[in-house]
Amino acid sequence: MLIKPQSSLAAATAAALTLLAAGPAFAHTETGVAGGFTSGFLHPIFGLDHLVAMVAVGLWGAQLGRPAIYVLPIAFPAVMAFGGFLGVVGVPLPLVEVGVAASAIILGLSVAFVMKPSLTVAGLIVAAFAIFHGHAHGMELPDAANPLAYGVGFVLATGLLHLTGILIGLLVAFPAGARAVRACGAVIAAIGFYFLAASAGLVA
Amino acid sequence: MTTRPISRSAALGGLCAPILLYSGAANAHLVNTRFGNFYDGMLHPLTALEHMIPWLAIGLLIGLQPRAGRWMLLTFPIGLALGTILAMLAPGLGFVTAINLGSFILLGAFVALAAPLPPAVLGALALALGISHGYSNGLAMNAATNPWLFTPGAVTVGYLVVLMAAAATAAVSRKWSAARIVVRAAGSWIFAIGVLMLGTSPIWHG
Repeated sequence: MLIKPQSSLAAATAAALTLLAAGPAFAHTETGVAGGFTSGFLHPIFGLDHLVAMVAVGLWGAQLGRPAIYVLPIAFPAVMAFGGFLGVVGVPLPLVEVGVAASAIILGLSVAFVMKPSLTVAGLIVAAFAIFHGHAHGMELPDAANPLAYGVGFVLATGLLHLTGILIGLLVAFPAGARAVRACGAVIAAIGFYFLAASAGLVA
Repeated sequence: MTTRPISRSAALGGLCAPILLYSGAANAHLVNTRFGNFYDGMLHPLTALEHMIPWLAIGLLIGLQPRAGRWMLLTFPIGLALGTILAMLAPGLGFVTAINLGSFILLGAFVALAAPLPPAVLGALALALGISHGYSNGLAMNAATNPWLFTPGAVTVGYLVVLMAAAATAAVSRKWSAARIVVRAAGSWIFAIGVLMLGTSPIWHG
């Protein structure tokens, strides 16, 4: 029996389309320490609401100058850990998503308007929001492939995001750089408003 | 027929050649011999975050206050050795894991605060934490493990990790004052990891 050219073309096309549906093959299944570290490290980075707030802490610290430039990034992980502890233990914290979004708004606006409260007030603002961020991360920790490696990755990523904010914030030494940093604050606040609207169900 | 005399060196070579036939295998890596237990002792803490992070914190603490902290360089390895031996004598002390977890929080807080502490306090702290971490490592030994090789391995790596971290911290923070802030930030990270891990303790989860 001869196969018609049209039918073989149709079969080849169907086979080619089937290949498009193939899923990715993972050589590394991310288990154990590596898996836990990876998931912990990527959690704050892939969560845009966390990412912008962490960078804002660094930016604000740089604007406030010494000693805030190092007190805020040192205090934040310590307080965040208490929020994380509550999340790991399973203590519910109301309006976590609203709190995380509000942190981006408040910290972003503080940077945009170059607000310079006392170190105590700035520390309390940052600490209060750190609880929400920590809780959101902590909820994921018990399910990680390796909880300790998850914690190491998540704390390391948070610290590096602070450092990123500080490095960008060092631009305040130049007039144009100071304006750029304030613009970054405005963008961060706008992103915070988006997440606040999303948590209220106003946007998708 | 004339015979030629054999030289002494040729005769010696002829005698040595058969001896070479009896030579055994040469092991380039001593892990194939009983000495491998020394490496077991080194690798066990080296591949565990629950040991490496607090040991690194001890190094940071010494580096921040080298004069007061140098006693830790002496007492920590002694504590590790004592703890490893204790694990052989009394292997059922479950609370030691909680002490190791607490060492994240305690050492992280001391580094973050950079609070000056008396040499005796630092020395005693390193001895106590050396015992608890040595104990946990000692539990990894089984009946086939030679403790007289495993223990020096664990002590050696503990001493080297703390010494290198302390030396690097002291050298860098002496040269750049900003490095001292970075070290303190690392302390707050270690503290945070400890508090997070405290939440995983069975006491909170029934």
